[in-house]
Amino acid sequence: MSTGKNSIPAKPRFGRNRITLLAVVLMLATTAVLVLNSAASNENSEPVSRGATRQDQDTAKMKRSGHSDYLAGLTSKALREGFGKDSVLVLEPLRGPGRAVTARQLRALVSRSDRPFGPRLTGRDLKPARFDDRNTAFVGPSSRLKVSADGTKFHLRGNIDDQREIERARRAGKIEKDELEKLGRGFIDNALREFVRVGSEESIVYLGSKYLRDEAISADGKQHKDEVIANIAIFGREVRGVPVVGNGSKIAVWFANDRQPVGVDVDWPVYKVTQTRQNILPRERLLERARATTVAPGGSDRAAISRFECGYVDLGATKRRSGIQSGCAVHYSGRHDDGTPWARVEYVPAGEQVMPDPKWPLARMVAAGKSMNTDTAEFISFASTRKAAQTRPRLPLGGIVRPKPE
Amino acid sequence: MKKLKKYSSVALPVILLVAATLFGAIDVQAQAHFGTLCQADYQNNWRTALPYSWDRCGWFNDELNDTDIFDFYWNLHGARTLYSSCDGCAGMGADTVSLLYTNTHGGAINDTNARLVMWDQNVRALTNTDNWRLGDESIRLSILALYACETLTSDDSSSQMINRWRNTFRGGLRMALGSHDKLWDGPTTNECGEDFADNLQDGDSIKWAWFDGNGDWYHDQDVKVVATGTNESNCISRKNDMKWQNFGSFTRLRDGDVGWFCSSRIDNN
Repeated sequence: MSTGKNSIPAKPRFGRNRITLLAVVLMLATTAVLVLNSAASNENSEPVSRGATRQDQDTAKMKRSGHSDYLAGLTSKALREGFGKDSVLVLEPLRGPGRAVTARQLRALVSRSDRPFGPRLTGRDLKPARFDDRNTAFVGPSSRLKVSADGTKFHLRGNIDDQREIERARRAGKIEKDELEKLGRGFIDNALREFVRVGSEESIVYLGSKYLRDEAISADGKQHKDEVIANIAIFGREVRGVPVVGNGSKIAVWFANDRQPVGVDVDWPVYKVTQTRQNILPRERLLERARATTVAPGGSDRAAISRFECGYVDLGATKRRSGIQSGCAVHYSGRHDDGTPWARVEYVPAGEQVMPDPKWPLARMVAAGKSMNTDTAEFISFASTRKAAQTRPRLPLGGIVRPKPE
Repeated sequence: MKKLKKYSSVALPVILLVAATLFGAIDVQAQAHFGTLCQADYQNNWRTALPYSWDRCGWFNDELNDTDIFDFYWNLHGARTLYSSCDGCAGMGADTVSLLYTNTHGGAINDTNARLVMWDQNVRALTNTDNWRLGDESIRLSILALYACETLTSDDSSSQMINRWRNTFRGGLRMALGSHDKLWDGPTTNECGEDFADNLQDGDSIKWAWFDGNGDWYHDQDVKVVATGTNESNCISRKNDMKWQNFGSFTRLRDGDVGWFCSSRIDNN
């Protein structure tokens, strides 16, 4: 069997016995029909899925050049003021349009002759790939699209790796942070306006830049190239002046060096401001909760906080639930004695009363009246939905296996 | 009338059979072997816990197991040799699968080795000290995926990075996926393994499956991939075009065949 992937014979998916094959084929066909019917009927009706010196020093040391001034300012503000408000109104994310609607709209847009997404983000050759309960994908020779089940999240990639385009765009060079913001905002206002709705009490905020870089080195180390291939502008959202922290409410727009868009990522639900008010812990109690569950906000001998941002916590399309509440994202990291780095992030609930959320371990824990540090075995058990890996058998299961012809 | 009923009772299975054959013909693809080695806690707390490791790895297994051949999932107790002298040990060694996914702490900068932290106190798996040479035993590893910090860094120098990985690739390993700085452990990055697997299944290139699976627009995820080639353009082509569905069609490059190393990375540093 020619695998096209590995010369080791692949495990046959079907038995060789013809009767068995026929039975399996019939079962597959029936399943396929049922699955396709079920998918078609459900596409539009899916629920929404699921001022200490030391602080300043540590934070400054770990600040990344790609962060915008706005993003960096969130940490300074939160360490200084805590949440910065006495209460917030809980947000309700509205049901998304569903994957079929979003995918159809996007494919129609990228296929239009006036090319609202630019010449390098096209959908001409996109073909359906796999479909599962989390998302739907389309793949083509020069582009890819993936849409989440509820239709609030998608990513689209153009021909970012096209060497002729890279060559052509090379001379223009890297796009700096400020220009990226302008380019990104223009793209959101025009090309993305159907997918990024901004409410009357909302605003889009610039979080900073990232870069895709390619490097090539000859094995003898004598030749070396390193260049920026794509420039990425990242945006978030504020609701009633409160930032949304977490993966939700984020947009990334990718540009080649010649300023042509080559990729876009969106996770953007519509929020309704409810009349449910959540009172926020005062600064000292909030920092105490953070210290008890993660690390002291001033850092410690072994850990420094690189980001400490408070706002509405939206963990993104796959974890978003009814009731978006307050919290603070604590990004902390350090190096062990041998220099090995580590990096952790937790979301500490900020409300006096915390709503339980099965996808947010610390909210679930605090709502249940429990307290434990996330660096403990007890918390690992609490946070894990999957079993721990087992220890391998002491002796090899089948000894050393010799290579087979490839 | 009877005849009509008889024909209709025969027609349905026939139609289903034709549909199923067509469906099967499109859907059936060769499967590849994969294994997973992960750790969340460490002996006597000698290293910081990674509370979301079990979900990250478990969900990776669950997803890829839908289409491919799951061979093993072990923790990192006494696992150092599985990347080196026991890489061909059946049911556990790195070379007994085409794709090995690992989640633990990693490091490399200013060191002659890239290292992976084992559960056992003071034990690390080390690329050069342990003589890693992957891709030449058993099924032969093609893709080494490390959800671990810094293992692919070239911050000290690009030559240092190559020297840390040269011998590993000389066995014929096709791609290494990992980070040049930090990969974060948290309640949203616990889906990274599953997303990576899902992208592989969709037919994305391995590079983009890793970037889009682990990349994140809120956290500072530093993702990187490294490949080898006979020359520069060959290296770039292998890095950009290799997929889970076609990696076997890319010639293995061993020892002196490796003329170039090339990489892609995303960061905000």
